[in-house]
Amino acid sequence: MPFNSVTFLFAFLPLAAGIYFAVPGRRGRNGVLLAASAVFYAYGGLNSLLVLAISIAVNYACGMAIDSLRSGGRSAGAKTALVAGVVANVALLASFKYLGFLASSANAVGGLHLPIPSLIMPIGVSFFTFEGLSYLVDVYRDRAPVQRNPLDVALYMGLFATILAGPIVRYGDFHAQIRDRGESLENVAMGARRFIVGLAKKAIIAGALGTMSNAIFATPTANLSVAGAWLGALAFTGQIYFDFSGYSDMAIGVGRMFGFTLPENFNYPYISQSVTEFWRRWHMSLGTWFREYVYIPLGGNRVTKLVNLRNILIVWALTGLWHGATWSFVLWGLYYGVMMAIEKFVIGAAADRVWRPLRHVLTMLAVVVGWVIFKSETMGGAFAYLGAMAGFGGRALIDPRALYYLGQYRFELAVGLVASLPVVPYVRVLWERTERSAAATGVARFGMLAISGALFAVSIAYIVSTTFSPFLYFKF
Amino acid sequence: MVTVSERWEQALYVAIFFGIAVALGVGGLVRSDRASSSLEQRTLAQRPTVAWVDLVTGEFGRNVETYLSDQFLGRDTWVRSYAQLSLRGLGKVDMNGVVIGKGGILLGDMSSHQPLTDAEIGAELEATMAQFDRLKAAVTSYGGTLLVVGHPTKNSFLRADYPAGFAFPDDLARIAPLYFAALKQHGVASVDVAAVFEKHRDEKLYYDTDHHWTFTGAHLAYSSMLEGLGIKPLALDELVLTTLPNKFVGSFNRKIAMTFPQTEKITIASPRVPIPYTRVQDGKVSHDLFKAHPAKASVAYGIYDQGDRGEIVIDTNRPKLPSLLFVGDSFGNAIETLAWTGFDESRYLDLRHYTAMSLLDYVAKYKPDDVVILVRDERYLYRNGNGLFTGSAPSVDSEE
Repeated sequence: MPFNSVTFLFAFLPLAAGIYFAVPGRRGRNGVLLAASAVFYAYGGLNSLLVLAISIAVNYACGMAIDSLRSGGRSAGAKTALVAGVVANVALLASFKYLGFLASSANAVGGLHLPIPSLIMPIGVSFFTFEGLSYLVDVYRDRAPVQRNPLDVALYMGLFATILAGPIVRYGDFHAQIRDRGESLENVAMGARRFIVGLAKKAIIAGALGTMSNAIFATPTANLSVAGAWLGALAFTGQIYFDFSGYSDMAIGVGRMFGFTLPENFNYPYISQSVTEFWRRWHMSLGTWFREYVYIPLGGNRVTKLVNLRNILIVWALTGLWHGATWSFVLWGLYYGVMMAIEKFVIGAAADRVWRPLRHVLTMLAVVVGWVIFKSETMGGAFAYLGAMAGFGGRALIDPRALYYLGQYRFELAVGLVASLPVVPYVRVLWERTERSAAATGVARFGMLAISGALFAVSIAYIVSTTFSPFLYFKF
Repeated sequence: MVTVSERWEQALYVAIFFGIAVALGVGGLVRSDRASSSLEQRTLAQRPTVAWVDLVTGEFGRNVETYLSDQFLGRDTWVRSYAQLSLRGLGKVDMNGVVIGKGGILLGDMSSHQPLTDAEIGAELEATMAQFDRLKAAVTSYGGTLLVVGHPTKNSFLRADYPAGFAFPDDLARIAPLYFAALKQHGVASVDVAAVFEKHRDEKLYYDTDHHWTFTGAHLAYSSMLEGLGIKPLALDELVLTTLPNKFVGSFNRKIAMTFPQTEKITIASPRVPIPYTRVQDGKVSHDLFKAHPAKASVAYGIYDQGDRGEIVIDTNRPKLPSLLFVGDSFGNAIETLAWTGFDESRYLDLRHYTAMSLLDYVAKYKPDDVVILVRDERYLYRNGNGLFTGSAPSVDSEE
């Protein structure tokens, strides 16, 4: 049940919140959340709920086994339980997400004729599997206590605020909130405000930029002008940011309404001045997960340069593969791995001597190229599109269609540009530094309230009137 | 420390957010469901039934979403507001497949058209002509006449009115001359209405807010068709023209939530000298050539010949006149209300809706003297629906 659906906004959320706050006590409220999460997830099909239940059961059992064996002084046994749990999680993910990819790759490389399985991937499987892995590793490392009540594991892995597309919450950061979190009027209000911001990002900006980018990417590359190709790439650059950060805002907002503090997923990634910085600001919960559970266990950077390089490439190949079971995604991940390796081992501190605006432009160039690879269905398609952006093939610099897109989506492009910069935090800091009367503060507060109300109303009009558009990250 | 005013602000946030969500959610549920939307001109989803298989696959959830969205409280107002905001507020020129052309003329968005190469056009043309060969053989086997009437769509005829960034596809524009040349080569008589329309370009041949032709355009097409069959059409002074005072709902305007002022009116005609007739529509007697149009009701182009029908038979009991079989889509509806006057028995098929038999079987069964195929230029190579002569696999087009 997507957050931008009529069902969620006007039926599920008010009902879930109403019952939640009517029920006293932590245990009762956790029960409400768990039941609500089950309904939320079952909306996409009971078969998906069954897969989630199996995953929860396996992780609960493995967690109990790890804890029990470790407390009994059998650390080797605990490690075996951890490995078994990791294998089970990876197998679950692989069977739904990667089996077809592996079979088709084996057929292509080895000339085999393996049947290509086509299992329907449960939505959010990549996210809840990673949370399951986080649970096992954090329990094994003794960074957080095991949950003896399976329903608490279910609440962690299946919480409706995060199950579909994150943020990926590390168990070590979450476990305390199962028992102790602060529901308050302030949290509900701040959660609602954050939710509206996310909804508006998705409905108003991402939707329009998505229409534009889809139309341009669907155009045969031979028919694209250079400006048209760039517009398509920039539109997708905006779309994916506002789509995913909008979703994350909504998830964080919903979590806050129920007293949870969920990790931030974005920190204005498009102001980055290096690819490394970009990935510290983009999908932060995924980056943190890979750093914590893959990169550091591989040795991180406290190894030789060669091993460090290997670690970087492994992490980024896996990051690409996590996003999708195609070679294009692997290439996209490796592309970033190579970029980061170059920044780390080749450019190094020399980057600091480069003019900051130029660093920013070069970083965005690398990011936009990355999104073209990400968006294109095949590697051939990606290279053809990049060729169009580079002006290969004697194409026109600009065409009427590109001008049309520029004019038609000028509002969304302009708002997207401003909203992708830290304008709001900057204004907030200025505002807080300014001496002002109580009346001015009141007017500003009313203004913010009015803006939120207007954004909510406009978003509703978009949701009701336009064909439903799912979030891009749901397919991962 | 939270101050009193901050607490008020927070309470207001919560009240606004959940107040709107609850009011709209509950309001939509307690109000009785609407069967259809006059604004969107479509049936609305009704309360879904629970089936185990739908619960398992997630289909039930999707049905619930469609239902709640369709029955959303104040849906028409939300839809209209969205259209106003997009088209008027943000100055967009296209929405829901409709493009605002020069002078405010509404046109169809053809930008998703997948262009055909010359080789593909050649292959498609060959397959299309093979169908005409078979139809011609069937018609001429008993001494009948086959005539193809090709006409431009509004998108095609007014292609110069597309705003910058939009265009009528080049490949479709290239097909027309090839199509008529191929018909000639295959010995199939044809009329190109585009050539007739060109001579009347300064007249209003298409509605601004609808994708169909006006009565003027329909009358020109009708006249060309009858002249192509060697029959004298009824001139305008032989008809009683009535411009209906009812509000006309244009198909394109409907798609953009009636954002444009709808000032156009629809004109209907009947022969000045009445001709008695019987009319059977999809097997049932239904005398009226036009859909009922009470004074306060809005009317659409579908008023002509009571809208798209699988089969209409009009009999004037004048055996000395020839019989007609006319195959066409909604553009034919307006022609049908005129054409029957020139024939003894006239039969009208819309193969998107008629499933009893194939066109070839129908021709063999009724042996009409004149067989007319009306086809719009965007569908010259289309071999489905009204472009499928040999099978009975109807395909309801997205456009009426």
